[in-house]
Amino acid sequence: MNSRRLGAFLLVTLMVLSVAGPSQAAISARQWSRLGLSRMGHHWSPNLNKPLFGRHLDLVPGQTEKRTFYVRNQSGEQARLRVSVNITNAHGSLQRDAFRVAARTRAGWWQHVRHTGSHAVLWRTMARGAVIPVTLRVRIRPRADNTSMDRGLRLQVKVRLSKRIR
Amino acid sequence: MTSNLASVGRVLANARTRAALSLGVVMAVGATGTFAYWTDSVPVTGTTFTAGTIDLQVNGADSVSGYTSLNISNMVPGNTVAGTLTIKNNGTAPMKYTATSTSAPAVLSGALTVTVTGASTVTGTSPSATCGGTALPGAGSTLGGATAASLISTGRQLNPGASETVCIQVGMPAGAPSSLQGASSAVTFTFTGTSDLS
Repeated sequence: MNSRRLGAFLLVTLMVLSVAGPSQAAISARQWSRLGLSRMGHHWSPNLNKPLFGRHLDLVPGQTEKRTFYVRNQSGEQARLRVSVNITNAHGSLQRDAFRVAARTRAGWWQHVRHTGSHAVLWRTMARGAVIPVTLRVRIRPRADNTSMDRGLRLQVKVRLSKRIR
Repeated sequence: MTSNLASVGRVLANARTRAALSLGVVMAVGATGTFAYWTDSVPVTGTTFTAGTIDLQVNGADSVSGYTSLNISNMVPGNTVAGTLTIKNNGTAPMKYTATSTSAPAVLSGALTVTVTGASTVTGTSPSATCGGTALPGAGSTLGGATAASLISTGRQLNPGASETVCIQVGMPAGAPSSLQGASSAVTFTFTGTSDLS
């Protein structure tokens, strides 16, 4: 082959390959989320679709509510899991010592959240394909007095899986 | 210098050389590269938690004064008087309520009998008014004096918005001592609600 044509052929081939790469990845991302969530650990989806505790929940002193959901690393490689909760006052000022929010994985220690705002409650490395249960607990102290009546908070959870790549 | 430039030009003129250099440039860019992150994050829809309320009301009020259904004058042994009260949970959380009684002066406490049933109406009229039905679980049998006596000791559950009627019957037993003649007491019933359902 003419050397000039060969050179041009090689250059064009490289360009075609580099353009094809991201598109393939984009297609893959649409079909298979890196992060899978499940309520029971059986059926997986990119999100939980419904609130973990329902949209609204009334609690009384001494009442505890716990919910567990499962996270799966579907990225095909080791990655970093981070679960954070964001607490905002839903009804005026919140009596600080009335509500208790905590999170943990499996039988680990409870990570407590004591103030409003965004807080990372869980962070760990996940092997590819690993499944981790995450439990959230919300309760009102048994000794919360009448001043806590009708006060509340709003709880949102964010799950993030990330990986530093070259 | 000119010959060197010319040599370089001849080298570049060669297609293979140009291709190789192109490859080298591309590869060099890939090798030094940049660190990037991929991140996949999912928000889980939020929930609003509210501390529930309990609001116990008697006859539609937080405090009832001037309740005269149990008023009786010139009470003699065998007389009974009865009246009903409607207890309501006006809050958002279920509650259990109990009740106690006190009287002042306490001269009649312990002497008069008390019966509490779930009847919604009084049977008969004073001084022979009675409460039908059976006594509520944990219902007291005597009036308290300075120290409160249990009127309803077994907590009765009311869900939010629910109400029920209790009938309170007070009587002077046939064997009441004559020392009670002329005595008079003002009785107070206190109803207490709690969110503790245990």
